[in-house]
Amino acid sequence: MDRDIEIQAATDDAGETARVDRATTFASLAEHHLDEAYRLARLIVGDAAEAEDATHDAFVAAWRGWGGLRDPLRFDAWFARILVNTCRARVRRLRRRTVVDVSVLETASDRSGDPTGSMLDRAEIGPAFASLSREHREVLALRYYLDLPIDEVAVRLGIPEGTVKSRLHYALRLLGAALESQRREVDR
Amino acid sequence: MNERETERRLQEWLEQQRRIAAPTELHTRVAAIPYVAERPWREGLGVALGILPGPRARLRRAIVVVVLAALLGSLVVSAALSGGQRKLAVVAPLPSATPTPTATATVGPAPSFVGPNLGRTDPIPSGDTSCTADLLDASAGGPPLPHRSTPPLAPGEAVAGSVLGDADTQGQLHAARVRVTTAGSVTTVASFTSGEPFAQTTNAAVAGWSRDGTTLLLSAGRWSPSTWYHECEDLYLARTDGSSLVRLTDNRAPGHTVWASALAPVGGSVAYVEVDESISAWWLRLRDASGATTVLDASACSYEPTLLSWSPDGRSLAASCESSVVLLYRVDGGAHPDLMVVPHTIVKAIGWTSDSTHVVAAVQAGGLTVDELEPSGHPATVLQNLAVRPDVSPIGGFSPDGSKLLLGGCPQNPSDPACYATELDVLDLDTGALSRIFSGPDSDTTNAATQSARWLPDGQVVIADLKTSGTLVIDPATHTTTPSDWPIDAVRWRPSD
Repeated sequence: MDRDIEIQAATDDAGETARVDRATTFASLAEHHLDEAYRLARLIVGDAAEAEDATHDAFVAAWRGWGGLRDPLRFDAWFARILVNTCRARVRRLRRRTVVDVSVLETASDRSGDPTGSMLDRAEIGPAFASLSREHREVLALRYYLDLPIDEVAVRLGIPEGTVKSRLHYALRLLGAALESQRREVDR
Repeated sequence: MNERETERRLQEWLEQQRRIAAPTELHTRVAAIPYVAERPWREGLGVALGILPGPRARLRRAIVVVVLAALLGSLVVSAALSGGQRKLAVVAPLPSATPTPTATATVGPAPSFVGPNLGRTDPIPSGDTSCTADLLDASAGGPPLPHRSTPPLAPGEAVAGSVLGDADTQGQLHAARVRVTTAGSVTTVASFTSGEPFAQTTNAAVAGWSRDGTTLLLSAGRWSPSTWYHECEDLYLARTDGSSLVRLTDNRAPGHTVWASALAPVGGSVAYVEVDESISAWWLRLRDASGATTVLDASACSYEPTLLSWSPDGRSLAASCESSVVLLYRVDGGAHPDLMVVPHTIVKAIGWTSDSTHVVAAVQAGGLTVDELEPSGHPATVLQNLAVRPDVSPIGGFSPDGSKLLLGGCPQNPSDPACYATELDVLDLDTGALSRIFSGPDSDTTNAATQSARWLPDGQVVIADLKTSGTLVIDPATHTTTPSDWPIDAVRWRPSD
């Protein structure tokens, strides 16, 4: 009986050690990727507070699916998919609430250390980017921020490559039009 | 502001975004995730249902049993009253080839620009001169390649597909070939070499194969060095014996490219969407076997069509844009389309019934439904309703005979939140049966994905397996899975097809 208890205690200890190791590895990876994940979420969601929640939710989902990831070196791509999926769900909920916050992407860090006239450029493009639809922000973020090729963007978003190209094209056109509109306002 | 300038400013701004740090509070919240109790709701639910110990667990368990029994009873009664019969689709023939007045008014104004053939040497609006040189040195035939094919091909069978990645000395991809493999030989049908050193060749792919086995529709293009996504893609018709290669389009001008294309299974016609991104113009073009090109009236589409599908008899073309509209053209009926409006939905896939009489469409409206469309805005017949499966999408489209739809699922699976292990199901449109033909990668889910699944003309399925950089061929009838060295754009041709 005592021996059974000892075996059980040893097993419990081993299980606990493995659990702690697992948690430590995940926490380390999460910390490493957190800033990047938060930035991508801000681009897609377009709202700083929602981006925080989306990033948190994505890491929760990743932790729950942690057992399915056998190669931690692949964490980057694996987690990016989780994050995009989580952001899309967030935006769907946001849309129902019809919240539009175009100022959040214009942050203090945008303005800091910028003695040149290019500050105006960045001040313009933040709200212009945020004014795009979620589909357009998403495709621009994956293509230009994550530097993914067209086919990979298509796979991650679950849409045909032709649609990716189309959305990229129209997103850039709309972005350019929004910038032009802002420039005219400034000139006036 | 031109696109190049917009791109430049976007990239500059994105670089600035990279300096933003997550709030400290978020770091704290995320760091705690692995150490807090996993899924506390499970415990709460267990207690509520009386499965786990708690106050009055026996009483709660009894209530749950009574409620479940009542639900089950109501389901049984409901099924008995409905008679258990499935409504059959009403299949009516298509109207005559006489053009029907289009119902554009029902979908609003038509802002798309339908114009003449593209100019070749016009001034370049964006100021981008990078595409004016020949993008690709395209030639018929090419050096022989060693023979290898897995799975083995039967006599008379052939597989066509592209081979990318002939590397130059710097390790950059710059060339692509399209080859046809038979049981005993490999023929290089076409070779595409980038016009500039170190520029990547992209998207050399087989877009279609004529039913008689003699002609391939190819697409090939190259990244424009000055922009990130203009592919300057062109279409080519190639003889499968490598004796001839004809370029159908000329997209050397910047911003000019092709976004969708389809080769008629018989008759030699090619439909494609040609785009001039520099002025946001697009044309849905039809090239017949004689080489004459017609611009089809697609003014009912607000955006360019992204889905094109020929009827099996090669006489009709269906085109869908990213809206609730499907256009139907009769090749012998002129350029005026019949218009089919799919209300309040997004068309995700289109195909044809095997007798070429009806267009079927997979549409997303909350859940997924498969509709048989009626021309000129008549109500569609809903063949199947998958509203109860919001996780599936028609990633593989309709089978060549229009009787099945290839679905990929992204189920709410806690062990795979990234949805890499996408299962593949085939929906039989006649019976409504949904059968699992592939359960997803069986090993490391992070290195495999099944999103890029497609039908072969013979009704089998090819899927990508990123882990092995190869493909799998699945027989939907037997669910047999065979590893393959075919490329993902592979098309198999059989004499009986």
